[in-house]
Amino acid sequence: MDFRLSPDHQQVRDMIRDLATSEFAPHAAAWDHDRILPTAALAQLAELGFYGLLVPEEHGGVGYDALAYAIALEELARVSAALSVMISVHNSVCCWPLVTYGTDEQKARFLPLLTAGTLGAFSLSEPGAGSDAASLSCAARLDGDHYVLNGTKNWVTNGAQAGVIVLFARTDPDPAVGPRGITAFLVTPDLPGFSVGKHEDKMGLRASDTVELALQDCRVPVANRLGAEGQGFKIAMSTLDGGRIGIGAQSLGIAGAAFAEAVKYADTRVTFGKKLHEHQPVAFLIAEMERRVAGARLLVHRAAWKKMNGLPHRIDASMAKLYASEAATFVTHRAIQIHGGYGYVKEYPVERYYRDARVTEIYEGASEIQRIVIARELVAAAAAAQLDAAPATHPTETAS
Amino acid sequence: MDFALPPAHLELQARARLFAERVIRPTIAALDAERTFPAEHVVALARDGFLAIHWPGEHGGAGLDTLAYAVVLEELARVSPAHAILVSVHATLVGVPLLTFGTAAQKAAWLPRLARGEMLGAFAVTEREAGSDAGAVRTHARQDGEGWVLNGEKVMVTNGGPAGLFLVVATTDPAAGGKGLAAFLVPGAAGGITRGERERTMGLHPADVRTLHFENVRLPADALLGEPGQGMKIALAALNVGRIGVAAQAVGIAAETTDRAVAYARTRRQFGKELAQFGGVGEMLADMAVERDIARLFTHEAATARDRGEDFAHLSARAKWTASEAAVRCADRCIQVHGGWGYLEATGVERYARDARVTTLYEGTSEMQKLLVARHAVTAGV
Repeated sequence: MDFRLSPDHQQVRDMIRDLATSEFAPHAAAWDHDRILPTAALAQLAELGFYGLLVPEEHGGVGYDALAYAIALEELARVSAALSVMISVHNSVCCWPLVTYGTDEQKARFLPLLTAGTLGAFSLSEPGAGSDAASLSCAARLDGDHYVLNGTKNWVTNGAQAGVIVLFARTDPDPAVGPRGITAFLVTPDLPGFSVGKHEDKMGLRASDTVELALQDCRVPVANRLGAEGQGFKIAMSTLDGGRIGIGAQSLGIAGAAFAEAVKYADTRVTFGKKLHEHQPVAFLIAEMERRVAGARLLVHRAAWKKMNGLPHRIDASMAKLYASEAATFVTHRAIQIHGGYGYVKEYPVERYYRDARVTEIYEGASEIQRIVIARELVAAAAAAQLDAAPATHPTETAS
Repeated sequence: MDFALPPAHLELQARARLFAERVIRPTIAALDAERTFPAEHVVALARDGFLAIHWPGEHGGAGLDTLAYAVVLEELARVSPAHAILVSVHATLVGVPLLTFGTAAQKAAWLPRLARGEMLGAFAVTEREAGSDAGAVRTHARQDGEGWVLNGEKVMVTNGGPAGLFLVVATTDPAAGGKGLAAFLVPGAAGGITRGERERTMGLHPADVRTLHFENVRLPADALLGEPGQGMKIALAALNVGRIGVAAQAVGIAAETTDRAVAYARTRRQFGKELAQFGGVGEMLADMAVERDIARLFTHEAATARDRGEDFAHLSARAKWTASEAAVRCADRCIQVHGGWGYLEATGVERYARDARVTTLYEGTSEMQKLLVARHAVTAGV
């Protein structure tokens, strides 16, 4: 048992930290402030292989393991959570389902494009279907060798830049079939009837572009259907299982950056004749922040380690995403508190971290959904254990 | 990186679980209700090698590492947190200082008998006016020829009644404060020691906790452990490891109460469905499991760091603080999930809430641990 990074993984961390610190950090505040899409940074990342982190080498990717991937997202997020989420969405929820569920023809058609520097996106949510994804209403009607899609999708990160969007629509309009009526498609922006709607003006992650998509009699070739008809919900859920470790890693990066700023400030700022951290309430805050960052790191690394070793990790991924995202909002909030008024102005980066952190508790499965997943897994494990154990493991005690 | 327990530790875990279930479980409700010290279990623990898990074999120990120690304490605590603290005080708060600072003669004189369970060890530092502020100790050791004469009072001494050996921290130089402390190996049978009545504690009822009075207790020269002035250093070295044991104990409480809550919530039906199907109950279960897992990860992180010879004081502080709070919360939530049944002694879960409560207090309060964690974060950088 050893929770430390291997030398190889340390090398990945150091390499990406150097890159992010020297190349991206000087621009992150401006990207955020002016809602600038960091195209030069994205091109540089594509050049270095970041567009194929989860794509096997045979398809032009670099084939990172789950831990190296988590480290990459954490390190990018320490500098720019917006940059991190663009890379996360591209790899976790666009490339990964394509690699996992795509036909050879689909992989050959789309993966070279994606790994070479065209962004990918994922589109499940609708104005009326968020956490309750099975209730989505975007319709896909088979018409010869095309599906005709009609509906509105929203919260699509990378949606306006994407060359490929993994998009979910309902092939069976009967609401009674619920999740089994959902099918995944590979939608490209050149298809007739596809258009990009409103660009959202967000609280945080302002350098990333989040859009609404409109599908009006959008004709998608049958060859672009990902998986079988009715398999879409399963594809979406398994994709999000993997994505959760990525969002956990992103949250960890934000929390780590905010914590480092808070400690630095508390060690320099003097009030009432002593350093901030010498005041006990501030010391206690620092301790609380430290353990949440440390706890988030262990949970994210455990989930990634299990995934890369082929072990079941659904509960671990949900714990990592839940805890790390809540750690990020807590730590960034308290980092502002430690900075006092300076934390509330843009001269320091902590208010950006706070705004960026807030969404991590919401997207790719809200905290409430993660707790449902965890509770369900606990109950299932207890049921399985009881089937295994002949006599009850814990006989009821009786006080004598 | 490897998050799995090694096979030998899994085997040990199964063995400790079997011991706890077969030997302790059938008796724990009665031990708790009657506040009985489990003297016969001390012998059984020793026979299975659980009294000196992380001591080298040459001194009668099982020769295992700190991770093995944490694994065993968690399993004992799942059934009886009182047994876990009995072992922790004996094996770590007394054993580790002896192993680290003892002369060959001192080790030979005490360790094999302690390992065999012929006698228990107890750690006597705390006084009425010296709790977290251990530097304020007033128990006095006066040099008398080659030997020493001990006078004073120690409180809240776990294993205080049955102990055959006390590790006592006293001042040899009251003017020097924390720098004037020394540690002594005091035989339980030494003349001049009076044991007070057993304390009526909120939880850990089987544990024997007492006040000790020392009145002109004469000690030979070789009762001194280490050097005069090293008392604080010795006590802190013991507590750094001790906290891993308390953390493991707390993980055991968190794990047991989480399992019990899940087991109850998936069978108990109200309003036509199992409790676990209600969102509010599911959230409680999820939060308990997350706290338990983080507590265990921190505990194993501290143990493995010590086993690799790295600095681990901040890690054991973080583990102890986090695990103890997780134990308190999980035990409390477990009662909540059980509803009124959780409040009945016969259900056997309220005991964990009483037992858990002390874990945020002893071997350094949460507040002391937070200061250690914060100080390390500021000085070591992040």
